[in-house]
Amino acid sequence: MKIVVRLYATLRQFVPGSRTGEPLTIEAKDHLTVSELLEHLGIPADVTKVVFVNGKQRERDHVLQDGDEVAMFPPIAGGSC
Amino acid sequence: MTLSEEQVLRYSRNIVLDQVGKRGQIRLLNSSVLVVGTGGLGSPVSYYLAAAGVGRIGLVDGDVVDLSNLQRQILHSTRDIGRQKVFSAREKLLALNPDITVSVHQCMLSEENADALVGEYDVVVDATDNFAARYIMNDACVRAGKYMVHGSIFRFEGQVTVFGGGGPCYRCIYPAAPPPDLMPTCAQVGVLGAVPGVIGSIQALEVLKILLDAGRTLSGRLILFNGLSMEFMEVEVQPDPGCPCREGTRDAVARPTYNGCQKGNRG
Repeated sequence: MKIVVRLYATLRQFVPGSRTGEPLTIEAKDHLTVSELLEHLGIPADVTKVVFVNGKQRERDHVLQDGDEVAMFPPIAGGSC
Repeated sequence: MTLSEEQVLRYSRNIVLDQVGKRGQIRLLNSSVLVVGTGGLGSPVSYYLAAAGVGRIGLVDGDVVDLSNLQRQILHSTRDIGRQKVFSAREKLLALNPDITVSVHQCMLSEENADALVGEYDVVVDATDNFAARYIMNDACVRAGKYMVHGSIFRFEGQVTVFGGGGPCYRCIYPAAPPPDLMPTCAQVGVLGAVPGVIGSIQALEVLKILLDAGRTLSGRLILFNGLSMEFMEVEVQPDPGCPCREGTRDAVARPTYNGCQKGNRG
């Protein structure tokens, strides 16, 4: 199945060649969970991030479906600086 | 309270809006907003709030103006280099609108002063540049039951949402701060001034909507802004039932004791 992934801010550093918010299409096995997708992408488990599937926040054990759009973003610090 | 002739003219473009009117304008003039940070986000936020006639604006910042701030921190000018930011900011806001009051708190937000500062204002704006201050501010807003209008930026990206008002708090979304080594500073990664300009303007608009009880705020929704591709993506954010902010467990958010903050009057 195909999963479309969008990575934001500091998460991009883990996936060479990725660009902020631009869709990356991943060919994955059926019944892939969010945590397996993170592992597949090489994003360390201890990196703080929030995962959204089709615009809804999902936990690590959520099972993905063909065509799902997954967005992941970390908290970002900047503002006053 | 009635509006003077000058106020009717000054705020005429606000007043003509159905969602504002004279009543809404009086409401704004009777409102107070605490803006934490007077930098890239705090500049547009406080400028627009001052211009709109928010009656009392509190500014929290312990920094001084540096030459490298000026490409984005539009409240400050070249002649302000070396000056305390809160005083530089207050001068600009009062020059724009002498009709309002600007209180300056020349310090960083801390566990010691957060409750007292947050308690003095109706709405709090997160325009800081660090996680520590955000968690402190969040917890104080949860304890006080106040809205926290959050904005943050990274290179060409931004995040903006409204915490409180029945929606999630900062901890619901980000229970813990990321390790510092993964979080480069603006000085390391850079930022174009117009990016905090976009996010700060959205924050100002959300504050005004909250004060006016107009429209639909970003509570429960988070916007991810990508300035390079010029895209806004909206995601739904929900309260975490296990978060200390939820009803009945609010006291779980530890309450520190207050030691005060230097409140400056001159600049």
